[in-house]
Amino acid sequence: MLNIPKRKTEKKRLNVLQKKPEKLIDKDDMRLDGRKLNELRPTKIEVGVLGNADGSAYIEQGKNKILAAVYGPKEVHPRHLARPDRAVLRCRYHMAPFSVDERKSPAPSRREVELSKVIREALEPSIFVEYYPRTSIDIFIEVLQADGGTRCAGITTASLALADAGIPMRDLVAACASGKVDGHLVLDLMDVEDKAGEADVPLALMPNLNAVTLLQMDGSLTIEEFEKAVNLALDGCKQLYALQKEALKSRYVAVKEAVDE
Amino acid sequence: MTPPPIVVRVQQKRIAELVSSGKRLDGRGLTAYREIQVEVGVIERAEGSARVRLGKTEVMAGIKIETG
Repeated sequence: MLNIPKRKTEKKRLNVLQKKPEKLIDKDDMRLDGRKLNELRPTKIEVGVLGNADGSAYIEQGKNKILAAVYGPKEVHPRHLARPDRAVLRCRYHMAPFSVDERKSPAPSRREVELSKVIREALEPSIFVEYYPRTSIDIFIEVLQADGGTRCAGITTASLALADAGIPMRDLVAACASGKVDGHLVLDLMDVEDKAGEADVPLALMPNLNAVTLLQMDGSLTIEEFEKAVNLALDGCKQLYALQKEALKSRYVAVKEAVDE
Repeated sequence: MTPPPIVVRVQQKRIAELVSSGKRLDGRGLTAYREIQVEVGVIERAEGSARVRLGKTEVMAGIKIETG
């Protein structure tokens, strides 16, 4: 791990010779990391990881490591942003400089500003913002390590952090991407598949309401492929939702044990 | 200067009392550390990384190397 020169050259070789690995999916429909086409990456979620935030959650999805924190509802600063009839939701998606192969400047990039916006819009329908007029709810999503699908993992995590903060919500939001890689429709693309694949369809879902709050597509698909990809992503969201509920429950078991002591 | 708020004064007094009897608010002795946890290599993508926890303080650092 600490053998820096070796890792660097390996990375370079991968960059120069294998911009696109020859085969992303082998003849047995196995993917580079050994997953099946419709399989999520191994996912671990933890709720309530930060002491100072009102709500927080952490996810490890494959190599993705993402931390989300929620502050609020609280007084809005600057005051002029406050709305008399509802809470304002603010969101910052940020990648740590060490989260990707090439160091990322810590300043918010164009991409991060855009993702902050789409994540906010994906979470807003789930929150009863009208319960907290003149307040703000601030969400911070920090990508510690990125390996594709961070916007979706960010939404999944931030939604849990909101629940952990005790903010009344219509439903949790679970998000997952599907896409087309080497002509196959696959679930939960990782970084190589995202970059070398043909298309990527991130989707966020409120599973109990059966309502989609985010749907994007990068690349191109036929109408039939698009429908299949959406259904695949919907299925992935439902699997993640089960994990979200599990994580939230175990948080309350931990709280109950602490109280009982 | 305005006097400190009452809670701060009460807490100050409490801390002073405890210290004079060789204790602290969180029950530690005067020379005891908070719980220390050190982990290295927590971010595989970084050339080097570490996470240190000192009680409820938690800091993560990552190192990237690039040619100048």
